[in-house]
Amino acid sequence: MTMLTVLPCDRLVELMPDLLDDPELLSIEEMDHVAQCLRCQAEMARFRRLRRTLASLRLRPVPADPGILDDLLEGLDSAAERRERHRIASRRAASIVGLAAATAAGVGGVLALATRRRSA
Amino acid sequence: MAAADVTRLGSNEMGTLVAEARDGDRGAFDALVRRTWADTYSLAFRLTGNAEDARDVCQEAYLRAYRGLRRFRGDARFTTWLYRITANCASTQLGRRRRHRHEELDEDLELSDLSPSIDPVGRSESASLRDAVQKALAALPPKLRAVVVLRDIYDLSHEVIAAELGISVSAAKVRLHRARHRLRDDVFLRSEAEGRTHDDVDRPAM
Repeated sequence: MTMLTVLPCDRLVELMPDLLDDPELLSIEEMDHVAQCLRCQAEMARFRRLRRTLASLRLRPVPADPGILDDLLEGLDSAAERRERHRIASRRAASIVGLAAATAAGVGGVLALATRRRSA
Repeated sequence: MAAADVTRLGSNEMGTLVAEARDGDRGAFDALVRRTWADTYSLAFRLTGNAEDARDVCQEAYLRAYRGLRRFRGDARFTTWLYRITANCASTQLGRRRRHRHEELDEDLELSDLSPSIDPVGRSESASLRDAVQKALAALPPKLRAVVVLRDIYDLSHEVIAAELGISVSAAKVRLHRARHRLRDDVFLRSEAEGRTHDDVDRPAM
Protein backbone atom coordinates (compact mmCIF):
# COMPACT_ATOMS: atom_id res chain seq x y z
CA MET A 1 0.00 0.00 0.00
CA THR A 2 2.91 2.34 0.63
CA MET A 3 3.79 2.05 -3.06
CA LEU A 4 0.39 3.37 -4.09
CA THR A 5 0.97 6.62 -2.20
CA VAL A 6 4.62 7.00 -3.20
CA LEU A 7 3.96 6.51 -6.92
CA PRO A 8 1.16 8.75 -8.14
CA CYS A 9 -1.01 7.09 -10.76
CA ASP A 10 -1.36 10.35 -12.69
CA ARG A 11 2.36 10.38 -13.45
CA LEU A 12 2.24 6.80 -14.70
CA VAL A 13 -0.88 7.45 -16.79
CA GLU A 14 1.00 10.33 -18.39
CA LEU A 15 3.74 7.87 -19.42
CA MET A 16 1.39 5.24 -20.79
CA PRO A 17 1.13 6.38 -24.43
CA ASP A 18 4.92 6.06 -24.64
CA LEU A 19 4.90 2.60 -23.06
CA LEU A 20 3.15 1.27 -26.15
CA ASP A 21 6.39 1.82 -28.05
CA ASP A 22 8.83 1.23 -25.24
CA PRO A 23 7.58 -0.99 -22.39
CA GLU A 24 10.96 -0.69 -20.68
CA LEU A 25 10.37 2.94 -19.77
CA LEU A 26 9.07 1.83 -16.39
CA SER A 27 11.33 1.06 -13.49
CA ILE A 28 10.86 -2.19 -11.56
CA GLU A 29 9.11 -0.27 -8.77
CA GLU A 30 6.73 1.33 -11.24
CA MET A 31 5.98 -2.03 -12.85
CA ASP A 32 5.25 -3.43 -9.39
CA HIS A 33 2.90 -0.53 -8.78
CA VAL A 34 1.03 -1.14 -12.03
CA ALA A 35 0.75 -4.82 -11.15
CA GLN A 36 -1.05 -3.84 -7.94
CA CYS A 37 -3.04 -0.82 -9.08
CA LEU A 38 -6.40 -1.38 -10.75
CA ARG A 39 -6.59 2.16 -12.02
CA CYS A 40 -3.21 1.93 -13.77
CA GLN A 41 -4.10 -1.46 -15.23
CA ALA A 42 -7.37 -0.10 -16.55
CA GLU A 43 -5.61 2.89 -18.10
CA MET A 44 -2.99 0.66 -19.68
CA ALA A 45 -5.75 -1.55 -21.05
CA ARG A 46 -7.41 1.51 -22.59
CA PHE A 47 -4.27 2.55 -24.41
CA ARG A 48 -3.67 -1.00 -25.62
CA ARG A 49 -7.22 -1.31 -26.89
CA LEU A 50 -6.89 2.04 -28.58
CA ARG A 51 -3.78 0.89 -30.36
CA ARG A 52 -5.29 -2.45 -31.37
CA THR A 53 -8.32 -0.67 -32.77
CA LEU A 54 -6.13 1.78 -34.67
CA ALA A 55 -4.09 -1.10 -36.09
CA SER A 56 -7.29 -2.83 -37.19
CA LEU A 57 -8.14 0.22 -39.33
CA ARG A 58 -5.20 -0.64 -41.55
CA LEU A 59 -7.22 -3.48 -43.05
CA ARG A 60 -10.34 -1.37 -43.47
CA PRO A 61 -9.96 0.98 -46.39
CA VAL A 62 -11.86 4.24 -46.49
CA PRO A 63 -14.66 3.97 -49.07
CA ALA A 64 -13.46 5.62 -52.26
CA ASP A 65 -15.04 6.65 -55.52
CA PRO A 66 -13.91 4.04 -58.09
CA GLY A 67 -13.43 6.90 -60.57
CA ILE A 68 -10.28 7.82 -58.62
CA LEU A 69 -8.44 4.88 -60.14
CA ASP A 70 -9.23 6.08 -63.67
CA ASP A 71 -8.06 9.58 -62.75
CA LEU A 72 -4.83 8.18 -61.34
CA LEU A 73 -4.11 6.15 -64.45
CA GLU A 74 -4.97 9.10 -66.71
CA GLY A 75 -2.66 11.31 -64.69
CA LEU A 76 0.11 8.79 -65.13
CA ASP A 77 -0.57 8.61 -68.88
CA SER A 78 -0.21 12.37 -69.13
CA ALA A 79 2.97 12.28 -67.08
CA ALA A 80 4.40 9.51 -69.28
CA GLU A 81 3.53 11.49 -72.42
CA ARG A 82 5.13 14.62 -71.00
CA ARG A 83 8.20 12.63 -70.07
CA GLU A 84 8.42 11.13 -73.58
CA ARG A 85 7.99 14.53 -75.21
CA HIS A 86 10.67 15.95 -72.94
CA ARG A 87 12.98 13.03 -73.77
CA ILE A 88 12.48 13.52 -77.52
CA ALA A 89 12.92 17.30 -77.20
CA SER A 90 16.09 16.81 -75.15
CA ARG A 91 17.45 14.35 -77.66
CA ARG A 92 16.61 16.71 -80.52
CA ALA A 93 18.24 19.59 -78.69
CA ALA A 94 21.31 17.47 -78.02
CA SER A 95 21.48 16.55 -81.72
CA ILE A 96 21.20 20.20 -82.76
CA VAL A 97 23.86 21.23 -80.28
CA GLY A 98 26.09 18.40 -81.49
CA LEU A 99 25.55 19.36 -85.11
CA ALA A 100 26.22 23.01 -84.34
CA ALA A 101 29.39 22.07 -82.49
CA ALA A 102 30.54 19.86 -85.36
CA THR A 103 29.79 22.61 -87.89
CA ALA A 104 31.63 25.17 -85.80
CA ALA A 105 34.58 22.84 -85.47
CA GLY A 106 34.56 22.22 -89.24
CA VAL A 107 34.38 25.92 -90.08
CA GLY A 108 37.08 26.62 -87.54
CA GLY A 109 39.29 23.95 -89.06
CA VAL A 110 38.82 25.31 -92.59
CA LEU A 111 39.57 28.82 -91.41
CA ALA A 112 42.67 27.66 -89.55
CA LEU A 113 43.87 25.79 -92.64
CA ALA A 114 43.23 28.80 -94.87
CA THR A 115 45.06 31.10 -92.48
CA ARG A 116 48.03 28.74 -92.32
CA ARG A 117 48.22 28.47 -96.16
CA ARG A 118 48.02 32.24 -96.52
CA SER A 119 50.81 32.83 -94.06
CA ALA A 120 52.93 30.13 -95.74
CA MET B 1 -8.38 -3.94 -54.37
CA ALA B 2 -8.88 -3.68 -50.64
CA ALA B 3 -6.01 -3.06 -48.25
CA ALA B 4 -6.44 -6.52 -46.82
CA ASP B 5 -5.95 -7.98 -50.28
CA VAL B 6 -2.87 -5.87 -50.83
CA THR B 7 -1.46 -7.16 -47.58
CA ARG B 8 -2.15 -10.73 -48.60
CA LEU B 9 -0.48 -10.29 -51.98
CA GLY B 10 2.65 -12.36 -52.27
CA SER B 11 5.74 -10.26 -51.81
CA ASN B 12 7.22 -12.08 -54.80
CA GLU B 13 4.39 -10.95 -57.02
CA MET B 14 4.73 -7.34 -55.87
CA GLY B 15 8.50 -7.61 -56.21
CA THR B 16 8.19 -8.80 -59.79
CA LEU B 17 5.82 -5.98 -60.69
CA VAL B 18 8.11 -3.43 -59.04
CA ALA B 19 11.13 -4.78 -60.94
CA GLU B 20 9.26 -4.68 -64.24
CA ALA B 21 7.96 -1.18 -63.55
CA ARG B 22 11.46 -0.04 -62.66
CA ASP B 23 12.63 -1.33 -66.04
CA GLY B 24 10.14 1.00 -67.68
CA ASP B 25 7.13 -1.31 -68.04
CA ARG B 26 4.12 1.06 -67.73
CA GLY B 27 1.73 -1.87 -67.61
CA ALA B 28 3.49 -3.19 -64.52
CA PHE B 29 3.28 0.22 -62.85
CA ASP B 30 -0.43 0.43 -63.69
CA ALA B 31 -0.86 -3.01 -62.09
CA LEU B 32 0.84 -1.70 -58.95
CA VAL B 33 -1.50 1.28 -58.92
CA ARG B 34 -4.54 -0.98 -59.29
CA ARG B 35 -3.38 -3.07 -56.37
CA THR B 36 -2.45 -0.29 -54.00
CA TRP B 37 -4.68 2.70 -54.78
CA ALA B 38 -7.44 1.93 -52.27
CA ASP B 39 -4.88 1.62 -49.49
CA THR B 40 -3.04 4.76 -50.59
CA TYR B 41 -6.30 6.69 -50.82
CA SER B 42 -7.25 5.52 -47.32
CA LEU B 43 -3.97 6.79 -45.92
CA ALA B 44 -4.33 10.10 -47.79
CA PHE B 45 -7.89 10.49 -46.49
CA ARG B 46 -6.87 9.71 -42.93
CA LEU B 47 -4.05 12.24 -43.12
CA THR B 48 -5.90 15.07 -44.81
CA GLY B 49 -9.37 14.46 -43.43
CA ASN B 50 -11.27 15.14 -46.65
CA ALA B 51 -11.94 13.43 -49.97
CA GLU B 52 -10.84 16.25 -52.23
CA ASP B 53 -7.42 16.63 -50.66
CA ALA B 54 -7.04 12.87 -50.43
CA ARG B 55 -7.63 12.59 -54.16
CA ASP B 56 -5.00 15.24 -54.93
CA VAL B 57 -2.51 13.69 -52.53
CA CYS B 58 -3.05 10.27 -54.06
CA GLN B 59 -2.48 11.62 -57.57
CA GLU B 60 0.68 13.44 -56.53
CA ALA B 61 1.97 10.40 -54.64
CA TYR B 62 1.67 8.12 -57.64
CA LEU B 63 3.25 10.69 -59.94
CA ARG B 64 6.19 11.01 -57.56
CA ALA B 65 6.41 7.24 -57.25
CA TYR B 66 6.37 6.89 -61.02
CA ARG B 67 9.10 9.48 -61.48
CA GLY B 68 11.17 8.15 -58.59
CA LEU B 69 10.75 4.42 -59.07
CA ARG B 70 14.29 4.01 -60.39
CA ARG B 71 15.54 5.33 -57.07
CA PHE B 72 13.50 2.78 -55.10
CA ARG B 73 16.17 0.39 -53.90
CA GLY B 74 13.82 -2.33 -52.79
CA ASP B 75 15.24 -2.59 -49.27
CA ALA B 76 11.78 -1.63 -47.94
CA ARG B 77 8.43 -2.95 -49.11
CA PHE B 78 6.94 -1.06 -52.03
CA THR B 79 3.84 -0.25 -49.97
CA THR B 80 5.96 1.22 -47.16
CA TRP B 81 7.83 3.33 -49.71
CA LEU B 82 4.48 4.48 -51.10
CA TYR B 83 3.21 5.32 -47.60
CA ARG B 84 6.25 7.53 -47.09
CA ILE B 85 5.64 9.37 -50.34
CA THR B 86 1.95 9.74 -49.52
CA ALA B 87 2.75 11.08 -46.05
CA ASN B 88 5.15 13.58 -47.56
CA CYS B 89 2.61 14.69 -50.17
CA ALA B 90 -0.10 15.02 -47.52
CA SER B 91 2.21 17.10 -45.35
CA THR B 92 2.89 19.41 -48.31
CA GLN B 93 -0.81 19.60 -49.15
CA LEU B 94 -1.79 20.44 -45.59
CA GLY B 95 0.93 23.07 -45.39
CA ARG B 96 -0.26 24.61 -48.65
CA ARG B 97 -3.86 24.65 -47.50
CA ARG B 98 -2.82 26.21 -44.20
CA ARG B 99 -0.92 28.96 -45.95
CA HIS B 100 -3.75 29.68 -48.37
CA ARG B 101 -6.61 29.61 -45.95
CA HIS B 102 -4.70 30.78 -42.87
CA GLU B 103 -6.13 27.89 -40.92
CA GLU B 104 -4.93 27.62 -37.40
CA LEU B 105 -3.87 24.18 -36.34
CA ASP B 106 -4.72 24.45 -32.70
CA GLU B 107 -2.79 21.78 -30.92
CA ASP B 108 -3.46 23.25 -27.52
CA LEU B 109 -7.20 22.98 -27.14
CA GLU B 110 -8.19 22.67 -23.53
CA LEU B 111 -9.17 19.16 -22.63
CA SER B 112 -12.20 18.69 -20.45
CA ASP B 113 -11.49 17.91 -16.87
CA LEU B 114 -12.64 14.34 -16.81
CA SER B 115 -11.77 12.00 -14.05
CA PRO B 116 -10.52 8.66 -15.23
CA SER B 117 -12.51 5.71 -14.01
CA ILE B 118 -12.01 2.01 -14.03
CA ASP B 119 -12.48 0.47 -17.40
CA PRO B 120 -13.65 -3.12 -17.80
CA VAL B 121 -11.25 -4.79 -20.17
CA GLY B 122 -11.00 -7.89 -22.19
CA ARG B 123 -13.54 -7.35 -24.95
CA SER B 124 -12.60 -7.68 -28.56
CA GLU B 125 -12.67 -4.52 -30.63
CA SER B 126 -16.10 -3.99 -32.11
CA ALA B 127 -17.43 -2.00 -34.97
CA SER B 128 -18.77 0.67 -32.61
CA LEU B 129 -15.41 1.10 -30.92
CA ARG B 130 -13.80 1.42 -34.33
CA ASP B 131 -16.36 4.07 -35.25
CA ALA B 132 -15.63 5.95 -32.04
CA VAL B 133 -11.89 5.80 -32.76
CA GLN B 134 -12.38 6.95 -36.35
CA LYS B 135 -14.47 9.91 -35.21
CA ALA B 136 -11.91 10.86 -32.59
CA LEU B 137 -9.17 10.51 -35.17
CA ALA B 138 -11.00 12.79 -37.59
CA ALA B 139 -11.40 15.38 -34.81
CA LEU B 140 -7.65 15.55 -34.11
CA PRO B 141 -5.69 18.50 -35.44
CA PRO B 142 -3.93 17.43 -38.68
CA LYS B 143 -0.44 17.58 -37.16
CA LEU B 144 -1.37 15.19 -34.37
CA ARG B 145 -3.48 13.01 -36.63
CA ALA B 146 -0.63 12.53 -39.09
CA VAL B 147 1.75 10.99 -36.57
CA VAL B 148 -0.77 8.68 -34.95
CA VAL B 149 -2.06 7.49 -38.33
CA LEU B 150 1.43 6.79 -39.61
CA ARG B 151 2.62 5.15 -36.40
CA ASP B 152 -0.39 3.23 -35.10
CA ILE B 153 -2.24 2.38 -38.29
CA TYR B 154 0.59 2.11 -40.82
CA ASP B 155 3.33 1.09 -38.42
CA LEU B 156 6.01 3.47 -39.71
CA SER B 157 8.97 4.14 -37.42
CA HIS B 158 9.41 7.42 -35.54
CA GLU B 159 12.41 8.17 -37.73
CA VAL B 160 10.54 7.66 -41.01
CA ILE B 161 7.57 9.69 -39.77
CA ALA B 162 9.85 12.53 -38.71
CA ALA B 163 11.64 12.49 -42.06
CA GLU B 164 8.47 12.54 -44.14
CA LEU B 165 6.74 15.21 -42.09
CA GLY B 166 9.86 17.35 -41.92
CA ILE B 167 10.06 17.40 -38.14
CA SER B 168 12.53 16.07 -35.56
CA VAL B 169 12.18 12.57 -34.09
CA SER B 170 11.53 14.06 -30.67
CA ALA B 171 8.79 16.31 -32.09
CA ALA B 172 7.22 13.27 -33.73
CA LYS B 173 7.25 11.44 -30.39
CA VAL B 174 5.74 14.40 -28.55
CA ARG B 175 2.95 14.69 -31.11
CA LEU B 176 2.28 10.96 -30.91
CA HIS B 177 2.10 11.16 -27.13
CA ARG B 178 -0.40 13.99 -27.26
CA ALA B 179 -2.43 12.37 -30.02
CA ARG B 180 -2.78 9.11 -28.09
CA HIS B 181 -3.85 10.96 -24.96
CA ARG B 182 -6.44 12.92 -26.92
CA LEU B 183 -7.80 9.78 -28.53
CA ARG B 184 -8.00 8.03 -25.18
CA ASP B 185 -9.87 11.01 -23.74
CA ASP B 186 -12.27 11.22 -26.66
CA VAL B 187 -12.93 7.52 -27.04
CA PHE B 188 -13.09 6.43 -23.41
CA LEU B 189 -13.42 9.33 -21.01
CA ARG B 190 -15.83 11.55 -22.93
CA SER B 191 -18.15 8.66 -23.64
CA GLU B 192 -18.24 7.91 -19.91
CA ALA B 193 -18.81 11.56 -19.07
CA GLU B 194 -21.74 11.56 -21.49
CA GLY B 195 -23.23 8.62 -19.68
CA ARG B 196 -22.04 5.91 -22.00
CA THR B 197 -19.71 3.29 -20.67
CA HIS B 198 -17.30 1.14 -22.63
CA ASP B 199 -19.96 -1.46 -22.66
CA ASP B 200 -22.18 0.95 -24.57
CA VAL B 201 -19.44 2.04 -26.89
CA ASP B 202 -18.01 -1.38 -27.32
CA ARG B 203 -21.02 -3.45 -28.19
CA PRO B 204 -19.86 -6.70 -29.75
CA ALA B 205 -20.15 -6.78 -33.53
CA MET B 206 -22.81 -9.03 -34.95
